[in-house]
Amino acid sequence: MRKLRVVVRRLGAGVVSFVTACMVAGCVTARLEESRQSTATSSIQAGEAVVLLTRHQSNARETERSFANCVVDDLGSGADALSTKSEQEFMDGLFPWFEPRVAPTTAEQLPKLLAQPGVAQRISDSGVRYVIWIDGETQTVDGGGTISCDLLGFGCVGFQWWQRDSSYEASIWDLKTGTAAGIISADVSGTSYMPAIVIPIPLIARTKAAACHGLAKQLKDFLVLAPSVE
Amino acid sequence: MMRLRPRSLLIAALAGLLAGCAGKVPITTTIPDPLVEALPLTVGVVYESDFSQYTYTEKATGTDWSINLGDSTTRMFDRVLSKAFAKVVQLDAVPSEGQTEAGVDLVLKPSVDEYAFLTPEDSGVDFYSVSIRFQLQAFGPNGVPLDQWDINSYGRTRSKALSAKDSLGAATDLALRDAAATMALDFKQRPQIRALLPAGSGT
Repeated sequence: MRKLRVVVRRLGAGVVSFVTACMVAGCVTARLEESRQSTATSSIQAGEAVVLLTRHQSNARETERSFANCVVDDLGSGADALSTKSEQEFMDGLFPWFEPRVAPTTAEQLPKLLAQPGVAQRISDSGVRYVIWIDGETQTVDGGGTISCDLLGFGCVGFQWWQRDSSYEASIWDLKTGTAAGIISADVSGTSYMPAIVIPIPLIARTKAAACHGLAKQLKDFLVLAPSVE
Repeated sequence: MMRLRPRSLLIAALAGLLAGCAGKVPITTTIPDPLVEALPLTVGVVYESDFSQYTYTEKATGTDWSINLGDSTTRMFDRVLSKAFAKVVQLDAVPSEGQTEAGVDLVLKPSVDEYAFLTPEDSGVDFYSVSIRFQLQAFGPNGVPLDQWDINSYGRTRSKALSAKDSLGAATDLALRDAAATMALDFKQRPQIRALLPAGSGT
């Protein structure tokens, strides 16, 4: 049985990180966790790419396209940019093996998939080394208050607030070794406020954007800077 | 020279507006070439007009929905069969018993058994979803029934991303893609089709 070692690193330097930023826009609390699962994981090499795929199996939830696009944009930009492949191009090239009904649900199914005729060669030709499965979504979990407008021509008066939770998980699979490389999760919650005195002034807590940027940064650290765990 | 009165113009404009409100759903399915090993068989496929011109209509949520699936489903089957089998020929009809279609190992006849959709108003969730059930009948080259099975497919799209018509069209595209994915892998699993494979074909 393959030995599974899990290393939990704090964003930055510790075990678990809690980052609280109450800005003008609203109050956001972010928590990122990283779990390294493979003993054979090495940094991404020149000429190797990553592809980000979204899960479509769940009935009640599905990761927003805008979130996936945000993570891909972040991964592909900056001084430490990773080479990314389009999800659609990857899925079309490997049709039907990564379709919702057929795609492997665990990394343990990877060797069987890679043994299918033509699959390993097509993946090799695409240059994709890592598949990153993104799962999760942003939900409004609470809220209250009221705003009334057109009060005798004086505009709007009142107060509204709502709380959003953005919870996402990225599972990283190494197609070269056919194993799970690790999991990174991002849980961001924030409360937005909208006081209205004549005009409503929205103070939005951008939880989805915070989760996107945090997750992408952690993914880059994982794939580029991470040392091998022996 | 024909003279148009203002009343005629008004009626024409209203007719145009009503036509624009009708729910004719655009289907733009593109199925990639399946990455599967072709079975060494020659298949005759029969597309009856009920299948190749299939249009689903329903009056729901105040809209007359019209979804023309025939062209897309026919293209989808063509694409999948051409990669799943060594050779595909189109036949006008399933050979009647006593007749034999020369040069064909297997005859397939698809049909659309059911098309159904749910709007966010129906389901209470933020998605348009579509399910399609295809039925596939397999015959020997002499018209003898060999096998029959269903392919259930599903697709959905978020309602906020597109208009109602486009959302339903996109969900239908995904359901057809789902059907294609299932079908591409199905043939190899059917015992009655495997029994037709030449000995030592290795598939």
